[in-house]
Amino acid sequence: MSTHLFYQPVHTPPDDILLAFCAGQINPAFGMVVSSHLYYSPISRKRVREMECLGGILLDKIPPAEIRAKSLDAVIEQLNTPLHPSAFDTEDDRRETHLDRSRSDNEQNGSGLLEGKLPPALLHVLGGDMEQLKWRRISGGVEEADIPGGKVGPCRARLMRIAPHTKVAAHTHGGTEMTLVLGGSYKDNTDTFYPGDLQICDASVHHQPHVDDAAPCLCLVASDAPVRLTGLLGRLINPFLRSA
Amino acid sequence: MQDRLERLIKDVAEVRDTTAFKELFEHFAPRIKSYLLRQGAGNEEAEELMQEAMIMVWKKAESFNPGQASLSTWIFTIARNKRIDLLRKEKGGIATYDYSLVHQEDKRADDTLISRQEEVRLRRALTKLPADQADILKLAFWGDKSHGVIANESGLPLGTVKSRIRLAMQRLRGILEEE
Repeated sequence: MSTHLFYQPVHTPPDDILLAFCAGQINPAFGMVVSSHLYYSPISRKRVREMECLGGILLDKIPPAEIRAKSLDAVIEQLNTPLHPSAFDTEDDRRETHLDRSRSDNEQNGSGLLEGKLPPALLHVLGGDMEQLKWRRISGGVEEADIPGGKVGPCRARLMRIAPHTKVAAHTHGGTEMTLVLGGSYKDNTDTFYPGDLQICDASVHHQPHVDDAAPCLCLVASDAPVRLTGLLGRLINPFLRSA
Repeated sequence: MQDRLERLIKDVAEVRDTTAFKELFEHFAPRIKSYLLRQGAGNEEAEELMQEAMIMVWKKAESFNPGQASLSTWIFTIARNKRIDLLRKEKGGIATYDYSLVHQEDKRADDTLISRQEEVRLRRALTKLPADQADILKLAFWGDKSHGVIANESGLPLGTVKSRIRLAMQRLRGILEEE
């Protein structure tokens, strides 16, 4: 047994968002954040597995559609006979489903949280490490870095880094914003957020996140509308606004 | 029925039984296609993706683990992932559903897997859910083009649908706890 207490995120996504993720409806930029959160949260993983179970149960109940008469023949023609895993054509085929027995045998054992490593899914997208990231300054103490493939339609996922003892400009959100803490922590008027915590804000939330610690706070953020600055600072400059 | 389906996939996995596969196809293909159509795929597209999903079922039959999920759940995830792959090709993006990669300490006590008993209880609980709540869950999973847009481009449910989904899940869990 480890002597470390593994922090379980307190802030988890609500069911409607987990279900949108589970059903494959969610925009991939938001999906990236949810999927990274799952790395940290057994509770959320359990909920998603329950929902997948529901997905299976409902698949049995769905009114069936008409299949083309030749469909079965077309499929039979394409079947290979080898049992060996090399029958898989592409990396996509190999990675199809996380429920596979062979996948769970090969699971990577990232020490993740405790050593400040990133969720494997995110790390994969970044090509293995954070060295490639290009950080740009958004405002005093706040930097942002684009993620390859992070922009999908109106939604955008990116990394943000807030320096120690920094207050992010007060803002509200036109649409939805998801913030996943990857390292360090931040506070706002509601609570403190630690690695694995996912905060979801919408138009009703006005907040001013700040980092009190001596350590910077690293977050994965996704949103579907530009942030609107409120307060005096908002009227003077608009560093958060980006055109789509 | 799950038992019968799982015997079939076992035959496919162990001896490459095409008769068993045809039975699986008869059950799942029309349902997978229906799901894809409701997600907004065109008829052609839905046919193609469905075929690809069934080919995947054949190819990966060996790695289906009845201890980890029911066959329908496994196939649901295959169909869902196929759809996401298609969206990725059309719109880009990098979302991954491979969240089996977990923190090492977690693995020692990974009770996030749904057991066979839990699945049976979930099935039963779903039958006890009020019809309108079961309907909203069906809508949330299947989508339905004729219902108009229930979510915007973010893919997140809006307004009343959002709260109805939360209530339905809450009720479902309540029923599970009562058992």
